[in-house]
Amino acid sequence: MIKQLIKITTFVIVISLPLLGFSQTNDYTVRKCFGYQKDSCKISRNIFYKVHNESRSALFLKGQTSQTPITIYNGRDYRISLCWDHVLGNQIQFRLLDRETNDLLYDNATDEFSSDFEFTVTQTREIIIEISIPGSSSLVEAMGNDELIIVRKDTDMGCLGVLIEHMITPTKGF
Amino acid sequence: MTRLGILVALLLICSSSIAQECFQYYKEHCHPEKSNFHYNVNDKSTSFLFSSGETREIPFILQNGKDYRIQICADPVFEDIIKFEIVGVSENNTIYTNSSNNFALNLEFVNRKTQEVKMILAAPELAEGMSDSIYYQGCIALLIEEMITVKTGF
Repeated sequence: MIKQLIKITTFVIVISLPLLGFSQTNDYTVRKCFGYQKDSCKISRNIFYKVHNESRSALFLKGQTSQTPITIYNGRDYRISLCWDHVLGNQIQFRLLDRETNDLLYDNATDEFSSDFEFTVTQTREIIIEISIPGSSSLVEAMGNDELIIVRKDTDMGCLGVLIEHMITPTKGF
Repeated sequence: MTRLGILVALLLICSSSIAQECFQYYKEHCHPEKSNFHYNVNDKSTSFLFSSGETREIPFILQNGKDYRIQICADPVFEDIIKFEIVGVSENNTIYTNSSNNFALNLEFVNRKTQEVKMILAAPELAEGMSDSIYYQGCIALLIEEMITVKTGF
């Protein structure tokens, strides 16, 4: 009986292995980037940080700029880190802007294009995380031009994840 | 008269048999390159018997928000020289021509406006005075694949 069970299990594993391999596709049409930040961005070693549910990922073209809003709360520390497919380049620019005034709060271009940034919030604010991918793409260039109706497809695209972690600001001193 | 009738009948049978061979040509001979996108074959994809100097127009509607991958496959007799154009019906404007792209036989693009177009295929006419300038014909196929444009950015 046990032997039969082992045989069946082995058979099922042997059959399903190629199927599992086949299912690991590079197909961008099947939400390949979904959950990318969970799988690819390194979480902080600080155990007090919790992953923020505004963490997200998306498919990006070279030369594309995209923004996502987030509310940051007074009395909390935040860590924003990026991770991306190597096809998008070595350095990605990210900026934090005040959503209301559009004031620049942080630009990683002044921080050697660091892929993570940790900060303390002293005033609750709505901010924008702006991601800019270096390079160019025919589709991005055509975005502002309504006269271009068909645009050569650029297949140079990749996933980018924004991992946001937060915790209550630890008390300093006694 | 009877002999002539038989000859004509034979020619017709031959021609119709070649045309039959071309019917499934795109399924057997058009193999697009692998890519990171999954396309579905549009049922306007077609294949047919084509001759030197011939032009064929295939009406098509490009849908906004869809990506298209087009591939032209042809018998070696055409030596990969086939002119391909996409012409807008309403303004009769050339949207794309492969003559400005080294007669490339494939095209992958994002479409941003629903529009009625004609896809025009043309095989070169025979050059006059060429010693081997004989009338030729073979199968040609137009494979049209489509997918919904993937969203990029947040």
